[in-house]
Amino acid sequence: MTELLNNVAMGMNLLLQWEILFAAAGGVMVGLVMGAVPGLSDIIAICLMVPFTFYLNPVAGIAMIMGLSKGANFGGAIPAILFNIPGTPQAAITAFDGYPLSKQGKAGKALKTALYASCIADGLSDCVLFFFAAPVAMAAIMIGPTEHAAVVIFALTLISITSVSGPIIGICSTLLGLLLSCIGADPLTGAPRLAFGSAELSAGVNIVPMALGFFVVSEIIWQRCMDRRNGLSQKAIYTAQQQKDEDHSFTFAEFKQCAPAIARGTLIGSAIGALPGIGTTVGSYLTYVATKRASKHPEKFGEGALEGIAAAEAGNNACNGPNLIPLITLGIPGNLAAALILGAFTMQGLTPGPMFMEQQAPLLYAIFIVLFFSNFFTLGFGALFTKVMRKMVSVPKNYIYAAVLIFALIGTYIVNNNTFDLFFTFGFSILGVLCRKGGIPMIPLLIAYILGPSLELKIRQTMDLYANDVTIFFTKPISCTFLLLSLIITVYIIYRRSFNVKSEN
Amino acid sequence: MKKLMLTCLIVLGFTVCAQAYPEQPITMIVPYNAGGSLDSTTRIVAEFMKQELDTPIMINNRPGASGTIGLDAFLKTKPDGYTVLVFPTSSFITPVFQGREAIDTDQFKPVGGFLKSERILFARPDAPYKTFEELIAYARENPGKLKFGSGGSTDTAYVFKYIIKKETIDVNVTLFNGGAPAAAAIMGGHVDLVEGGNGSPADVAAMAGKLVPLCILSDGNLDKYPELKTPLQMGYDYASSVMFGFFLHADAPDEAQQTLSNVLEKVLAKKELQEKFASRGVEPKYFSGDELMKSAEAGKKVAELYKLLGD
Repeated sequence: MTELLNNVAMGMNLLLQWEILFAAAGGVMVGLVMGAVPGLSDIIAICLMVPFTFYLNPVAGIAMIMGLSKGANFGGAIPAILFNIPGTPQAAITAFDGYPLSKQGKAGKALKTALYASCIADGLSDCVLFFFAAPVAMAAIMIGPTEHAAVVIFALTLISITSVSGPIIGICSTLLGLLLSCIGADPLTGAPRLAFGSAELSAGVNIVPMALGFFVVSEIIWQRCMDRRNGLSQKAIYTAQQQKDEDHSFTFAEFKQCAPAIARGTLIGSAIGALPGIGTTVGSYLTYVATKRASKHPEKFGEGALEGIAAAEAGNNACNGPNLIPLITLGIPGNLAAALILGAFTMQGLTPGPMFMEQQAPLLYAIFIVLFFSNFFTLGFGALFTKVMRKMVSVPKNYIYAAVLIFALIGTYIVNNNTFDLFFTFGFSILGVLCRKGGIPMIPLLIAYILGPSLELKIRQTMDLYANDVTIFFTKPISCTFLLLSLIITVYIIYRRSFNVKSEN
Repeated sequence: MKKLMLTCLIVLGFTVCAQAYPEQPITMIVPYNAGGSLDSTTRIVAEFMKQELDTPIMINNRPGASGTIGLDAFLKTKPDGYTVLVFPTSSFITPVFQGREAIDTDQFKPVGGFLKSERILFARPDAPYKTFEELIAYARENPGKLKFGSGGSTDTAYVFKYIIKKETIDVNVTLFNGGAPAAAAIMGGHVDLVEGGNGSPADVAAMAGKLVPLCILSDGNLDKYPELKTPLQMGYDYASSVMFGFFLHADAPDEAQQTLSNVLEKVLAKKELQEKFASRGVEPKYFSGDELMKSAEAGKKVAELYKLLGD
């Protein structure tokens, strides 16, 4: 116990330096802004700021990168709630309940819910990182290619079957996403596929242009088409009536209502974050689905349920801290932010690995403490920022759309300095409009697109390692569990739906 | 008198015009993600080179398609000596393993190498074999039981496949995308053997005692593991060769090549640079342009294995 306190004391010593606090605050601020602008996402923010971090001291550098993640994961919710245009792909789920609530004039309430859910879940998951890094790492290491494939199949099944438009359409959306993810490099060997001889296509479509086209540009096109069809002549996003009904409060009773969703988000987000290669979007959506299932009023979800917003935001922010677990316990980065933090450590002559936690305890405790306190920065800056952004709803729509469109195109170009990516953005925007028109759910497509290469890679690696023995998926316990769970959930949900249909008749 | 003045002015003019390279900032294209091993090593080396050359060096990450995206971007730039490609020599033959042609090295002028990545074969400490010979014996008695994963170097995986074929043992082989997933897989018991470069996560784990190195699969020895032999030393005909180096366009001016080469050599000899890499167990060293191309040539030999062994 004294050793723990000793390490904490040494950590706090390292912490109380202006450089570190500024780096953390700066990271959160920049992350918030970049997350809130639909063209710039957390990935871009991190890639742009990383060279700076190489020259700061390690705690400051890591505080900055993590601050960017924290800020951007909440920042993306702001335009999602206000305009139904997610600032980051994972915020698309927050928009489900955020935007309807916003249209009822309660944008402030939605934003506050998102803010508190994000910060609390992030703080709690930082505690998971702090106290449970070692055991969580032990559990994460048991996930090999076979188990990973089973987990992804489980996630995709869950996401398709629970889709609002029905399991069949959900599955179609997922399969379409999987098909589109095949464009580009073969995940195992890197050979080009569906590239039609084009060098640009052989690299595949990066998630940033895809999400920007599919969600952001398509939303702008869609809203314009809807406005013209409905003959709306109003200039601003909200009608005068809505502005009169404004309710931007967030009471303690409402908080208590959202607390289970936040807790669920912390657990699911931490688990997803600790597993390399799954991602925040999945964490967000799984929490949303779980909360809806557990709710007494599932029909309210999609129409402005506060728990929906809290679930989505808690689910994506809780991934941040645990993303570092494989890195600091084993030296294995599980996502982009962790890989860049590894680079930052290397530049400073430090080497994350199995002995890292023992050898660098004060440094790591300092990092944990900074991460925890960064959430207060997110809270403070986030509150100020949302107050400012809320005024945007009185800005004429055309200006907003034009600005967002420009940023979306800039954001696409920044990723690879490649003008060809702009074609991808346009292409996916057409797909997005078609999905909206045809009532095809968009999130399963997005998640399948993200997870597709990983699923294929893990299945092929499993087949390589077990000499093409397919039954291995069922003989390994963890893998078998997840596949059985997928089957059980599918059967249950289809049964429930047909039961409901029968009872209606 | 006037003629003398004029001549002096003209000569002075020429001296002013003939300012030494570099006159502009230099761009380095890294065809891999920021923060990866190539990228972070390059950044440290570039930082020191910037001070020697007294000109800014900008790092441009262009990841994708096993390095070919960045490569294509580099070939499209002007051959004026101000854009440098950072590339591992083994990547010239990567397209061969995808069923395509190797990248033509005649398009490049080598500046020099700064890091030779030796690929090491690792096993877990609890394995029933502690040396390479014991591994082969065990594999012979237990066909189909052992599993191997590459740590991002496809050509090294093929060298291992060749060894398997030569020794007529049955080991299942797969490819991982990089050192990180490979290390996770072996430590979690999902594979029994991995190959990783020195300085990769698997090597870091080995330095902490969590993994055991059995042999080297590339063509150079390592000071820190003096007992490990290369495939050539063990009697096999193939070994991979991975050297990180700087390349210029084939048409770039020789002056640029010479200057960069000299500065690289100078910078790699500095103690402060070596110290930055010490904790990762990696030792950057200067390799001349010829040695860099020799490494690329060695890679071409490994490319034959694709025809020999198939997919």
